[in-house]
Amino acid sequence: MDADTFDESDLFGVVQQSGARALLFGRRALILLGAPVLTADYDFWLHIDDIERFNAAFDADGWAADRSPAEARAQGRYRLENGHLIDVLVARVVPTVTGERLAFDDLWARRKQRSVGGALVSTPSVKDLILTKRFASRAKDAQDIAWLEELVKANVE
Amino acid sequence: MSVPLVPPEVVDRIRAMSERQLSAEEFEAYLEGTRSADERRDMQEQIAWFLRRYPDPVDRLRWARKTYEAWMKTAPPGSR
Repeated sequence: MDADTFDESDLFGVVQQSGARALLFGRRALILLGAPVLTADYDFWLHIDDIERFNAAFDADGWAADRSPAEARAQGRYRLENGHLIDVLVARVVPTVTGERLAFDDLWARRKQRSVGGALVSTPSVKDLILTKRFASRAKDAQDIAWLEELVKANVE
Repeated sequence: MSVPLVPPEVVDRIRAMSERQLSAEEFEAYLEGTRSADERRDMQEQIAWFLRRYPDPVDRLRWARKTYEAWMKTAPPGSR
């Protein structure tokens, strides 16, 4: 899967085959749910112990990590690239702008599994997706919360 | 008919506004005050269209990728 042959079903197949605990979040999760927004990259929140298995699956598929697993653990995030871009968050806990502390393990326990292109994709619940939009608290995150609230009203969970 | 290019400095300014980290108070105020009834109705209509047009989630993701790629080809230099 290089930049020219990229397809979403292949991407999620790699994630599923890796066996890693990975949550799709960010704007791609909004799109998956039904919000017609645009973004340049994918965001996954990955369990910090699963970096190696996640990278091994993507490495076999032509993706390269921008830092080692040890560096990623120290920094709390890294990127995978192959012409497309995946931002990977690996922190165990992330604070929101209002001081709440979101733990990966809690979001994973409440995750929703969705069938996408033949693969099972895990995302945070919509309520948790709203909380993740409070990590960076940018104006565009507030706009994304508005989309998520409207998705709830449209009975999308 | 050609579409006038947005000057790069305007693109930079819009990006900076969108990317700026807000304080907790600013963020809550933004959440409280940004959506009129018309805006909410418009968002509901867009969601309904998107789900109707692309009932399969993988097709929604493909639409977003292709739309973004097409937009980038015509976007002003500062936005790439």
